[in-house]
Amino acid sequence: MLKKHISKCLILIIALSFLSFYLLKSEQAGSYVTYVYVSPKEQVIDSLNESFIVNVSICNVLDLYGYEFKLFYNSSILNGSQVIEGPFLSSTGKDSFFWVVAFDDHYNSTHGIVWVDSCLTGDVLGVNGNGTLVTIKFKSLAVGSSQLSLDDVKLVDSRKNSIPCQSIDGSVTIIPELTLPFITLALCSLLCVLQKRYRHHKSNQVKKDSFTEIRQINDATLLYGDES
Amino acid sequence: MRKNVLGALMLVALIALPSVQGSVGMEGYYTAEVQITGEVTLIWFNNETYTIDINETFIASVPDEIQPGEYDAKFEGYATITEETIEFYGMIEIDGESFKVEFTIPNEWPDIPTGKCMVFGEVQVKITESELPPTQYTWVHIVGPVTDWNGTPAWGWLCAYAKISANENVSRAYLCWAPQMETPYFNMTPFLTNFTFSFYAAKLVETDSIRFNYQGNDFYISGLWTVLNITFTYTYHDECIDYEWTEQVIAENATGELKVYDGWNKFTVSIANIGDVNGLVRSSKMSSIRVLEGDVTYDGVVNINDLVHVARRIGSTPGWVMGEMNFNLEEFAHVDINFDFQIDIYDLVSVATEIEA
Repeated sequence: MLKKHISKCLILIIALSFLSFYLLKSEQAGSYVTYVYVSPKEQVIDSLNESFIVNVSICNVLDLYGYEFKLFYNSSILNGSQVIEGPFLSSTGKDSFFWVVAFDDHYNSTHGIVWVDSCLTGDVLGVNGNGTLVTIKFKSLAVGSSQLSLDDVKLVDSRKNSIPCQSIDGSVTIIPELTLPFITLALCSLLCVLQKRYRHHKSNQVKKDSFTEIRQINDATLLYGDES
Repeated sequence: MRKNVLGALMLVALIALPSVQGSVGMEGYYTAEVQITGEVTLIWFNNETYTIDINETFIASVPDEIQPGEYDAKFEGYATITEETIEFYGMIEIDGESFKVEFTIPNEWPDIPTGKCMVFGEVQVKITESELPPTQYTWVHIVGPVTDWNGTPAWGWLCAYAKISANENVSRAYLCWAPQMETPYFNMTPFLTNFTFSFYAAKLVETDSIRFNYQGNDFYISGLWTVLNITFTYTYHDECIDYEWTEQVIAENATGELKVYDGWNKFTVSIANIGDVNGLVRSSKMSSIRVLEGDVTYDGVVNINDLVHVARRIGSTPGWVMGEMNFNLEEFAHVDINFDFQIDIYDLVSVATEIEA
């Protein structure tokens, strides 16, 4: 009787394992997500007026014929200096058309914009895989952090159908330069902080000691009564 | 005089069309039955692969350089897999020449994941000139600005496209218009303040008949139209302009006609309860080969100039063209190839795919 139950259970477990393996396998192969993302996702620049690059890249794409996106940045922290077509779309030797719709540090009072459209030309298939769509050169202006936000990302295949995608934003942090005055200032600040902490610690210690003393008195009072 | 000559030439071209042999709509191509056999490999992003045997026959347009016969070939393309079917599209390459193909087979492999994947394969291809008599198509493409609506001066744009054969009539027609500077359709306000722009948009949703030289018209399409009143509302905030738009159905499946007359120089769209929208034909093309729609500069070819022409207008919407308030719908609509009221990558791609490699 017990043997029968065990064998039934085993069969059930094996069947479930096969089923879950099959489902998992189907899910992994068939369902993929195309991402358009800012690369590197987070970047730290340690000096002002320094040029650095940010890529807008794509992964897991099939039959990409054209794309469009807007990238917004904080123009009080960064200024854009150059937009260059990445190698991905023309990677297979096909002709491509690249158009910068807008590249302006003063899109509004707070943000700049990079707005780019690009597509292949002719009756050809699109490109597959992963790669860089656009490289943008920025210059650090001021200390702070700027989001690099992708918006209105549109991907089109060779049959003029939309390719669904998810976009991933990035960020750039500009930190102060490590110059001698800055180091002196930083050390002074550190010393001040340490001194303050020491004082604070001392005063807490005094308070703690008095509290312990009071508590000891109270305990003694409770135990032995107020003899006074 | 010039109009009459043009009209006569068009008529001659039309009469001559049925004598065009083997025309399938693309210059330098012939219609063929293509049999593809062999193993193709389906590849997913996780490097999982499936190899399947296919044996399918379908109709394709084959370049004249590839004569009928049997060939070793390469197939490169994509497959969209559902539980019932596998739809392939891609290119067959034979001795350096390639042509596009599309075919669908039943999905007999239940373990293949559904979705889209890449496909590669070394296959055998048998090309036979189609035994079916080649279908004689006539393509017509007409575009032009609107001049008036029931006698009131108006701005707008017409785009009509028809594919006509003995067995099949297919047509598309889009029309948009707005009376010139007349309230309540315009609410012009000083620059950098909010404004609205309303206009009418009509679309041919069902074709009843397409005729040449009918009732005194050079070209005639009748069918059912849907008419919308569309309002774009533009708001400024933080030095930027934002918009949203609403649409209201004015007429649904209303009977209407497009008439092209006066030697293919004028048009009228008459829709029940809407009236007559009149205009001038800017460009009319009639051909036994497929007419390209991407020629937005009307110079007879689709090239980089057309791409740049569209690219410069990316981001435009009705009432806001190339970064400026602009209520002349013609300026916007002549590059809105897919009639979705925004100029973007889809319009650019519509032109780009028609550029000869």
